[in-house]
Amino acid sequence: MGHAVPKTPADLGRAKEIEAALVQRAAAGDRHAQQNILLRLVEPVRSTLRFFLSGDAELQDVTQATLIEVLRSLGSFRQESRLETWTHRIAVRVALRHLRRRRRRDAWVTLEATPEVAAPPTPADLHASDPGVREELRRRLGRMVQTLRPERQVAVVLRLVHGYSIEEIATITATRVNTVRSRLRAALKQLRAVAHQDGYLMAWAGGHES
Amino acid sequence: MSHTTPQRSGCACADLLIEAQLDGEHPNHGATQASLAQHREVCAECRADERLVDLWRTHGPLGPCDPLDELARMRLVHEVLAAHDRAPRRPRSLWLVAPAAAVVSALLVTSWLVWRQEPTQVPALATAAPTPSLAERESAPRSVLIAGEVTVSGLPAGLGDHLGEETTIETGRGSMVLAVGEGVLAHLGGRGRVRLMRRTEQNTVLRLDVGRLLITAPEGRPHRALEVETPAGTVALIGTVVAVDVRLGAVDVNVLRGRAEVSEAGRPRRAVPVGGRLRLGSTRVHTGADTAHRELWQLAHGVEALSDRDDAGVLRISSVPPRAIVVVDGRELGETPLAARVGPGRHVVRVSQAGRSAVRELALSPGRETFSAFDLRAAATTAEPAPGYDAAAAEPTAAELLRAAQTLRAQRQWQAAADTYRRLLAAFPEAGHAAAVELSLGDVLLYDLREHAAALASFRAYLAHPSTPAAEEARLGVALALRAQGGGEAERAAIEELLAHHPLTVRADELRARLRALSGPQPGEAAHD
Repeated sequence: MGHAVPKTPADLGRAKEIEAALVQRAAAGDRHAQQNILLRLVEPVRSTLRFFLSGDAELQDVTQATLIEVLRSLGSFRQESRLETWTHRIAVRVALRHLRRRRRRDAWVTLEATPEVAAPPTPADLHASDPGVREELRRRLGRMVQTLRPERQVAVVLRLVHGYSIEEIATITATRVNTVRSRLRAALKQLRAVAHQDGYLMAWAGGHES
Repeated sequence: MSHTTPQRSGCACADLLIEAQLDGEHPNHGATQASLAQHREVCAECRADERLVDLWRTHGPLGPCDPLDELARMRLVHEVLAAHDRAPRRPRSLWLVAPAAAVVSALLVTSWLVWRQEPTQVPALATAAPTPSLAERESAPRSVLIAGEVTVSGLPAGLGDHLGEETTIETGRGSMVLAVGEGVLAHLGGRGRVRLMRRTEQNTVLRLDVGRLLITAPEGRPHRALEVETPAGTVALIGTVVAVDVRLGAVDVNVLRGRAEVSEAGRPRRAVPVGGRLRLGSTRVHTGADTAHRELWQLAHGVEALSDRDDAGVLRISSVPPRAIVVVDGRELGETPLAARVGPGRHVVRVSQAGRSAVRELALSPGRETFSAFDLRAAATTAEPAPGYDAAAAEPTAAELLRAAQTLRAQRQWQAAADTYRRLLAAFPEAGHAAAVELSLGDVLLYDLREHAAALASFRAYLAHPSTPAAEEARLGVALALRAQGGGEAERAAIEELLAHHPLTVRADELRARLRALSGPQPGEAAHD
């Protein structure tokens, strides 16, 4: 079912009213409203979580956990932000919780960057439009981000990918501003160091000099 | 393009770059950015860092990037709702829980004291009846089929949901079947709008603003009264298969089985008998079948396949492309995406569109959901059979044969249409629309193929069925077939029978003239074609 994009302030006001009514009904246990909200939020939640989780099964589980958390918490949604924004924050918290749990579980696994084993690529091979190159770049970037501690990973994704301010990240992750700042600083330094050890990534980045 | 691998010695501006990433609103941000811009011109390492960050933003998701298809999304949502229902409710706050616990404790203590004093008296708390709202909710109409896009009070409809009073159902390009209770099913076709007005112990009232509502109820079983309010009057359904159409301001009532009573402002209450068609506002009740009757029989046959039992399984079918016809065990249920409550057990599901079709045998467990997605783009005529699939089940279903015959008839391929009707009757003699098929076959044989003897047999076979809403048309067919075979006493008897049963038939004058001719000195004279 397609949803028209509201264009005028009146449309936006109306959309907000509809959303408020929908949330109210869902919080009261209305099955249709709950279903409608969940259908609307599935993709936004998945796109948030994709930056933290690598496997399909893991993504599915955490998406489900996030949506259950959203349903439970609808009663506390105060309409101060958009529903998607509010859900995004819940998704980040659930992802952080999951990453911490996974890190404890997999504590024995070394998460340091693996040494470069692939043959050094030639510049002609490194066009990001090539699906093979894109997949390899994604894999390496993913592995690189996963070397970070969960708190740093969340902070750096929120800052660099989603563009949140330091204060907003502090609110979302329920920490102090200075803590976020130090986490970001450490994360960026670590990412930089790991990236510079990856010949493939650096060859791609340097290969696009014109 | 030149290939310049950055130096790995570490850049002097690295810390500055990081600080710039940290906070764009820093007081020195402008100066920082300016100095960084200058530095980037000469530092390949910094440019590489920036490109990596950009790459990560655009291509960096760790998981799969493809959005879920519709079926997977629906499945996920249902899993979440089920998990949410199973999860214990968390107390909102100790401030709310503590007083409640105190009240419950006090009541328990009081009950115990009462019980101690009056051992034979049952404490009042123990006899508390379930709340009316819960009971009402459990008996409220619920959806047993959703095909295509359907909304309930503006939100996407959910299968198995109980629908309360003042609920409005709108079917855009889809359809919905409601279980109203006691085996009564109400099918709202496409572009329809119905509102549940009220439900009491005595009756259920629906308001049909626009569209077609087909109601089926099991024969011989008492069920609570059902009334359909329309813009032109109210229809009380005493019958077992009744359709009410509201289109362009006109309201038509078709009774296929049982009867209906119509109340209009300023008119006495009128009954519409089986096989009758009444347009509200008009004075005359028409009898006899038309194409609408046959379509309705086919539709009713599909609706009756649905189950409202608590142990019914849920079948969810999607297809690529969507809007493909779904036939379950020979009964057409609707178009994809479709969700329906069907009895547990094994079912043969055929999904077809534009000459492509796929068949699978699906096993439904009691009370469980079964999902199946059909990709018709790759399907030829039939898809890969499922393990344990019965090849005989791949034969065309009754609904498909009927549709094929109707298509052939529309294309004026009379012989092929007749053959298909015969094949349908041979393969599915017990199907709900067998009577209507006999009539259609008789029409083709009499008017198009001129096989009068065979046509006569078909019309008589139709009239032998217990429910014959198109008896007028069949009796006329009998009379015309006999006339084509030479007329005589048999034709005269057939016309007399027709006039006795249907004195208001539009061909009454013509038939009486024919009777006079048959009674004259030359009974075999042909009046006209």
